[in-house]
Amino acid sequence: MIDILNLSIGEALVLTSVLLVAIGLFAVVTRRNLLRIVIGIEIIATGVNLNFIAMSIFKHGPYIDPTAHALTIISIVLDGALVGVALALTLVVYRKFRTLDTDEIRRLRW
Amino acid sequence: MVAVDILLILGVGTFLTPVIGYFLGDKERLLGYYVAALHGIALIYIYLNVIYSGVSSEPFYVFRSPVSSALIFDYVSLFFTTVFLIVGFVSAIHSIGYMARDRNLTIYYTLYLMMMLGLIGLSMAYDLFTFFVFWEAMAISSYVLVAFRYHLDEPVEAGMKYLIMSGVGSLLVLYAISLTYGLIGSLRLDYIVQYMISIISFASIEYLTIPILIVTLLLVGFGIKAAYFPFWTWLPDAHPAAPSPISALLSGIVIKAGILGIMRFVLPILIQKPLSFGPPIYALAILTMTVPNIIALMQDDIKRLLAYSSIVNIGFILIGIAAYVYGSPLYGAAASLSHVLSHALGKGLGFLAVGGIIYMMETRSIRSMYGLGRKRPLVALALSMALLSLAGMPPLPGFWSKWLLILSAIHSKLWILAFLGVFNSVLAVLYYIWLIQRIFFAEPTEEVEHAHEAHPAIKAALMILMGIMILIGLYPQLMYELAFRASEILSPLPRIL
Repeated sequence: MIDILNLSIGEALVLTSVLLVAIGLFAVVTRRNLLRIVIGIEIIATGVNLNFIAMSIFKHGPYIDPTAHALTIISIVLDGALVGVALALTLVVYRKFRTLDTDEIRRLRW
Repeated sequence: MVAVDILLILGVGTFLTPVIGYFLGDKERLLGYYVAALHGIALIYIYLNVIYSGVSSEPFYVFRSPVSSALIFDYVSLFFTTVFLIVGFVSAIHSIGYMARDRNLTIYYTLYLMMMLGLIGLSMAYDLFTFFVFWEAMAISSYVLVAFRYHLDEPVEAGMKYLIMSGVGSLLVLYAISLTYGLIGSLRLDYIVQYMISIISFASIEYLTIPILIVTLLLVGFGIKAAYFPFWTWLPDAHPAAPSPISALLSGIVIKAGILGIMRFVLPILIQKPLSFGPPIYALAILTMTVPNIIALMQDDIKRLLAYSSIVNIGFILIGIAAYVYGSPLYGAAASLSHVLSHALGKGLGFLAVGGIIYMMETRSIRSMYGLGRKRPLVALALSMALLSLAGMPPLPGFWSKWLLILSAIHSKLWILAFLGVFNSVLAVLYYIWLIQRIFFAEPTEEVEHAHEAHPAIKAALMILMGIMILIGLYPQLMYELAFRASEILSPLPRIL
């Protein structure tokens, strides 16, 4: 694939990360199941983290710039916290409404 | 370094909260005093430091390198920490009364302090990644706080909606941060500004594509938090669903975190001129002011009405930012900042007074609180004062900030924006005055006749905030002084290249 498109590793990674973010945004906007939306958010997070690594490849120097990796690790931790809260809330939503369909949940209110 | 000290005070305080709560056991509601005391200590510490050693604009680095994280305590930080700590202090006192019937208060106060720690850290962050870390600390604890009463339907659903929209927003900010890192190699504000200055001379499209993408992503990401035009759909659900002290925090200061992000990291990029984001900001200001104002006219739920009015006020703040972009940076930024302060106080007082009403009558319907002023004058007075300040009555802070906003729009020749600002103020006055008239002059309803007495802590919180509002209303130079000093940092004089 990389050979056909004639891309460098860095460009391929950037392209992948853009695709991942687009797929995640598409999932968040179009899916109606809460669990799928949470997975969509997680896909966006993966894409963003991949972009950090891709950006570090473009830096020229005697050694790889470790900042991107440090930032990625911190942001993975933050995403973990976000997804933990999201899944906990999804669980509460399911216990309360007995459904994960966002349209149903909206209809139940008022 | 005062920034590190404040973060230490609040951080150690946050992690001690569960321990103290564990030892308090059944008396965990006493934690409210501890939280309020921490805010007071932080505020007094900041001002003692400012009085004795002044405010320096020198950033504090962990190590001298473009990739180091950096903190700063300049006048912008001073302004925002003051606003955050005042509203946080008053809401903590209000929580003692309002949350008295709830359980799990140790968790509540820990999350409360975590959110305040995030907010204070935001105002002091000098590089984008430090900003993002505090942003997530603030955001994640605010999701849980919105859904804190998870045995009810509404908070859970609103919290989920808030989490999804705001989570995507913070990830878009993170994407912009990764692009900034790839483009510039540093995330520190001074390096970003230097880079923007260096590309002024060749303003061709190849050099501007990625900066334009970065600024757009930042505006969208911060915009979801600040709730301006296309992104405000979560706000009218989330703010009413939260417990009232948290509503006061969310509406008063958490949405201002988005404005803080725009002011700290986007405006210094925009003022370097190769990018022109004038027209989008102009359009955003107009739409954010006008559309929710019309929706607010037909609300019966008082917390929803206040939530829509928050969006309208974000639109007013955008007038100042538009004025900044269109050529009067000093007045524009100062006007936006003073409206941040006056709206934080006014909306904070409004939500706290509504919290008092909910505590007394357990209803949010405007129809059932007719005639409240005859039975419970203090709470009704606090609500009217908040509404009058939001409407812009002369002796209250809302008037002084709106006046400066309109002046700044006129100063940069944005006639339509100035006119629409006045028009929307008048439109908002319609429903504020209508509400005040119903509260004071209508016949008391049955619910009002059976209202309980408000908790003394609620009364104390309302009186403190009313006192602060009267003080700033009578001496607006207190607000202007802080706002103009901060604005001087945000709007550097034109550089000679």
